[in-house]
Amino acid sequence: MSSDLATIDLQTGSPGTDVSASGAWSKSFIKRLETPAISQWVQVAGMLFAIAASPATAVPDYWFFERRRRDVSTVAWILEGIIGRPISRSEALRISAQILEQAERERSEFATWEAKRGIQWEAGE
Amino acid sequence: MIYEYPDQSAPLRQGDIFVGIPRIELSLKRVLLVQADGEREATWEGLAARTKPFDIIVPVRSVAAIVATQDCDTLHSRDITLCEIREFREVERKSKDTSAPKKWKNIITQQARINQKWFYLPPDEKVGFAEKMGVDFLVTLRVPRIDLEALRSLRKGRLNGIADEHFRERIAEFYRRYPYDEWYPLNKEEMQTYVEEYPDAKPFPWQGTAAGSGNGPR
Repeated sequence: MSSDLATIDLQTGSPGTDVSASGAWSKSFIKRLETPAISQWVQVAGMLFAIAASPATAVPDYWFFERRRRDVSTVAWILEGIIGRPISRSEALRISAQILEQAERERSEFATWEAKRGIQWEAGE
Repeated sequence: MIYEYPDQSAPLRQGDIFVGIPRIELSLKRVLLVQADGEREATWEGLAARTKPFDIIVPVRSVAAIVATQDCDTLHSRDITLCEIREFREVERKSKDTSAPKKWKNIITQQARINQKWFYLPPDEKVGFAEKMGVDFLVTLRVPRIDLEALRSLRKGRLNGIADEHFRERIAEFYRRYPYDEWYPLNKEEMQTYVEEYPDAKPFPWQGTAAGSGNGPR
């Protein structure tokens, strides 16, 4: 018997098939024990609590975080547009030259500082 | 001297010397933004969170440099790393007033025995070095490999076999250095002398002077 046919058998509940093992439904209905009335109220209260509390206690709310992320992005984008001090092109080029001069000067100063440390090769000659 | 002059068709190799490589300078305190409405000066701290690329103005100088990337990577990697070459007297300030051959001999041969931050390159007319030069391992440049291959006309020479063996050993040693406080085993009297010479050295507790972490400058 193919698996497709077996599926049809389960759905129709044909004789000779142990449908109860499927777990989807029970072939022979057995009346379950009644639980006390107070337990029903407890169950209802529990369900209501679970429904009410689930958004806060279960998995993170994607839409909430997505909306917040978008808001932050929008704010950041606005801020990106106004960051810094406006300067002219000529001033930018002047600062650029200063950056280069400063870098070279600092390397020179570091080399001088290094030369005062460590082994003095010429000593003792 | 210690150089070879490869044909322009020869592939890139560690130890290749180029004259005319761009050295870009960045400042994290002064970032020059280029925007549609003009230029702005900002700090990198204010820009670090940006995820989208943006444009800035940076200064650049054309310098001499030597390929530091190892041979395998010079064939395939996207980027090539070079170290800047400057006049030796600038790189090693101990030699700023040196003139006697004996003193030069002492300075130059030290590089084979002590882990220095430079590599000595003698003058060579064909390479274009009129003075003694030095590779500064602290100043690295990065350029696209394909672009550099297309500009092999800027390659003025390369280290010969012996020099390249020393170069690759020296650069490897430089990058495997680890910081340590060399004064840790000195006794109290020796440490006192050491501190007179290097005031920023902090004694360790067992050296009998003021308590220190031993984490001073290295």
